[in-house]
Amino acid sequence: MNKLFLEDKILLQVEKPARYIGNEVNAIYKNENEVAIRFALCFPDVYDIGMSHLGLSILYNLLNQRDDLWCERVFSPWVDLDRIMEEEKLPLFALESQEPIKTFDFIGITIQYEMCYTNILRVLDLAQIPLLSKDRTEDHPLVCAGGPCVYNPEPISDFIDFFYIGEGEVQLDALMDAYKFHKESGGTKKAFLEIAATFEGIYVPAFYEVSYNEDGTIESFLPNNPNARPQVKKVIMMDMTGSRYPMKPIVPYIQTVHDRVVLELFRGCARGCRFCQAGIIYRPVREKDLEALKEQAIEIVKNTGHDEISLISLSSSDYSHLNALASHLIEAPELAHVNLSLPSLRIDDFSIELMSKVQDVRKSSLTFAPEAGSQRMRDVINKNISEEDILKGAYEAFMGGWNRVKMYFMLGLPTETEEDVLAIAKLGQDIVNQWFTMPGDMRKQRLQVVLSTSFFIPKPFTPFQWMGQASSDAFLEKSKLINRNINKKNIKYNSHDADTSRIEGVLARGDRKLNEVILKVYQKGARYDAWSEHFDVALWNEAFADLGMDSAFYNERTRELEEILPWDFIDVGVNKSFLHDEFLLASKGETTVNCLEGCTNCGAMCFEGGICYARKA
Amino acid sequence: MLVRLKFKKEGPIRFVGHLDMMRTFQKMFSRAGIPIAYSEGFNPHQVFSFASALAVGVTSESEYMDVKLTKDVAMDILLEAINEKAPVGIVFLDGVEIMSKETSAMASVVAATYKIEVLNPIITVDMVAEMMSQDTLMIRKKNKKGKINDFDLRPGIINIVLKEGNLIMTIANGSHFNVKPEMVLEKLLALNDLSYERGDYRFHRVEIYHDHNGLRPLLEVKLGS
Repeated sequence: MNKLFLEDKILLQVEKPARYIGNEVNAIYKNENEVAIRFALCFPDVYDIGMSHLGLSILYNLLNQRDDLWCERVFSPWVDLDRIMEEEKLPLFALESQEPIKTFDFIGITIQYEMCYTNILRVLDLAQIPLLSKDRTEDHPLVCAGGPCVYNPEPISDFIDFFYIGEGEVQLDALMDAYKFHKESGGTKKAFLEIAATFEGIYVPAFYEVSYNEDGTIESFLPNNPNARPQVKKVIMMDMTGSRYPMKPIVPYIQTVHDRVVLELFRGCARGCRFCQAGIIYRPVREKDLEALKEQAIEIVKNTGHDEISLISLSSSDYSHLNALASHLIEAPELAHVNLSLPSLRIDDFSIELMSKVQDVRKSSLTFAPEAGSQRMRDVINKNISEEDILKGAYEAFMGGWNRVKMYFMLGLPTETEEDVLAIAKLGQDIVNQWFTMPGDMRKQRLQVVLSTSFFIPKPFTPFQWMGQASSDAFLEKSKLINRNINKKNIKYNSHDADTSRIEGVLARGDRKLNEVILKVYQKGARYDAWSEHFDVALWNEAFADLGMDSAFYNERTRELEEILPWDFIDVGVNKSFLHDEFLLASKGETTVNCLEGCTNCGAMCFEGGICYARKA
Repeated sequence: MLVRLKFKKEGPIRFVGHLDMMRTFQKMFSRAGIPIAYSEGFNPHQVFSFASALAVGVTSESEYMDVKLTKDVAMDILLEAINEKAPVGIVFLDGVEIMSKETSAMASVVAATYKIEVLNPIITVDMVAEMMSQDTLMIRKKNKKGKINDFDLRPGIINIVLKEGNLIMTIANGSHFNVKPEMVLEKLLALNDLSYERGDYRFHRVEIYHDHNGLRPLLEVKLGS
């Protein structure tokens, strides 16, 4: 445990050397000679980000429960160390053993956002592993990937040997059993991939053949190996209470983005916002029992020493027992010095009341996400919240002592008009006006309203998956329009980078032809594209130009309904016809009930559990 | 109950800086379940303080901290409880109860001894003797406001010897007069037209002192009255 891969003189040169030393409390150490499988679990971004990711913690815990496997962590070295490792030809190493990962059995990459694709290549490159799957030999690790981005795995299908579509708890274990048996019997990589391909949820890109029409769209997408499934169905945990949750998560030395206990209340989201991919791909909603959560909270606090608990889920206030849980977390004697934080709440009376209970003294800022400024636009995206709810929520928050409000919106939503854009500025002003309707003695502090806009990116498996994305120029026009129309006295306005949104839009709905682009961009030096200070759109533009490809084909083009979409072979449970019906309703500005109110027969009932059945009982 | 604890820091955790050590210890005390006192106010925090910050990359066999507890705990039980939850490389070695009127560890530090392993043997006994024969050893030092001042190191060097390839130096430490071991090394090398490379040295803190009729390790406090 005392071994460090990097010499002191290197560690003393880089920012936050504690990112690279392992040895944190609850990190898992094993004897390398006593394990059959070495697994490098990778989050392709800097340690501070990766260590805040719950999924990584869940998988680390899950895999290390096996005595025959040692799962260790790998992150992208920050740019300073990256440079040194390249210059000195140092191979990327795992944090626990501090040994190069190029001799491991697996490199498993969790892919949370498209803009990390170049970082994935960087990880492989630094690890001294060939970037393309076809160039890797029997001596190299198997490279696999999971996470939300693999619901369209095609743009990175040349780099990854196999994808796991769904939740690791379901059958990562069975897959590792199969691998162990296979390794002991001396089989080839290809033979193992043929076994893996028979598992539900496993996609081996090499076992599929894609042909294209003259216009660049897909003509056919077919298995070329008898073991490959024509449709790959996601695998998900139906019994969340019984699923293995990390009770002893690693406690980083350095401050990470989420330096606290995270309690997962449920998976899935009942809301059905039409822009939201997570709201579809994680269906149906599956809750954890209240009692289990109460026990887990206390146990994890005891094992980590954290002084804050955060509730995490897609829309935490929809948890059936939120009030009881929050009360317990506030009142339990074991949690006397532990604060509760509540992210992603909806604006309603209940949430405001709960928030005031939780943060009785220090009022941090309150975050609302109306997503669109006008009621018409909110109906299009099925964000079922009215202007009245928003204004009332803000007023109550002000009366409750908050004076900072952050509001999130999207620009470039389907059917958006100038009027819809201006409505964002107006809503901001209406919130300010709410403040001034309060009695003067309630307004001693200065009001701060922050409006933030991001640019809408159509994602696979959403009702907008066929829609063209607005161009960067159109995006900029819209954000300028808002900027000209806000009262800067009380309102601050932030806007996302349009170029990043464009590239994200390209990658999100890309096909196999993008592998070449990503490789080229990487070779041109793209690193840390998810970080605005490192993102260089010129490299992407050059790569498309060099290859004679048009990025607008991927992001700005509106698809025909009949078109074979690159991700059509993946079955998320929700039917394509449901998505299309939702798309038609959106075009008419009609809303749809959410799963709490009624069933729309989206298809997720095929998983035989969760909210689809709970609410019916 | 106020206690002063002594611990060592070795191994990879030497790359965890001072502020992160504070956070790490706060979590460690929580896990250990010791009756640590919390401050009053809207944002209560555990009441403990380190005697002296240890620079990143430096190991130590004698670090000290003062900790306030809400009730009396036998020292061996306290140390055992903390050690069970301490991160790898941190071991609590000893502790004493101190009187509330005792000057805090942080305020009472006056000097520290360092052992510096010289990995690239360019320093000689003569070089050390030559430096110590000087009346003044001026260096340029940036103050907190970023202004560059001339600063005399000489009075801050209490003792320095080269022994078996290690430089062992006792130098001023603390809020009144603080000399960093790198400053001494850098000066020593500069006097001989050599340049300082951090990677050529391994720093280790041996002891921290306060002034109790001469330099005494911080754990030696007046007992009783």
